[in-house]
Amino acid sequence: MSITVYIPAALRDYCQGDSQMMLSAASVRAVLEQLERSHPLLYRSVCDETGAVRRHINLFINTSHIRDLEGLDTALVPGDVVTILTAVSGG
Amino acid sequence: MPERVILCIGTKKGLFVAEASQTRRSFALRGPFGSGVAVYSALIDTRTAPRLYASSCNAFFGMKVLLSTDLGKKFKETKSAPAFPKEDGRALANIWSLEAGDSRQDLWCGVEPAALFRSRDGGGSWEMVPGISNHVHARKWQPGNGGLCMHTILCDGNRVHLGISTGGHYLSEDGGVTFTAALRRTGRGERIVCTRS
Repeated sequence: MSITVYIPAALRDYCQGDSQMMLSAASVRAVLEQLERSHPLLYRSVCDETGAVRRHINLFINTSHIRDLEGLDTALVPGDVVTILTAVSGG
Repeated sequence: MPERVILCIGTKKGLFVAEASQTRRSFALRGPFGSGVAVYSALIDTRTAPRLYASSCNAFFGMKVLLSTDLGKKFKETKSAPAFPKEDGRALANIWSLEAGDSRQDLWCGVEPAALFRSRDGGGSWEMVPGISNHVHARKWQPGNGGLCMHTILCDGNRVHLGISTGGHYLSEDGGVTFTAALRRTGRGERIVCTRS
């Protein structure tokens, strides 16, 4: 199944400048496992050593945050879009 | 007398490198490198051809170590950064100290939560040092105002001194294999001074 993963600009150095990748994965966890194998520096920027998604990184499936779904166990279907989005703050 | 003086300045906005002639009348400033990311520690390693290391502590994307081999004209990330083993359960929150070890490629790195890492290949790979990172006291340390950090590493041959906030002073006399709490006579106003020949 084909899943599109959007990469934020700040992390594209870790994937040869690509802004998106196409993967086959049945869950968010499987997406991250694939990234860990294929692009370890990209993965390490998204997840810490324990495998948890970093505090200021958000993962969206289409328009929904994974915290509002099933977290890393959220199932994916062909055509889904996974967006890696950094938090924004300021004042 | 050195021909040039190089100064590394870690800031919340990245690393700056200041360079002057030996007279130090004026400094030229380069940077920031690792722009927008806090640098808590820098090391100028002159054991061989000079290398500049800096921690790049990114609250979003995690910890990196930056390396320059041209006296701070440009920096790139080392091949890897310190990281706890997956089964450890801890995650790196900051890199507080970088120090040169005994052999030419040997580096020490103190992190938050307080633990020590060692590289034997100039930062290409890192391993956690269990003698202090898994010390029987380690899970009892409590963070100081700046966090539970290993902020100071001083090497003197086989002796390795560590400063941990607020764990105190730990000393290894076997090159960093085992550590003991060495808290007597480390009260306010006293300093530990080490020199490298």
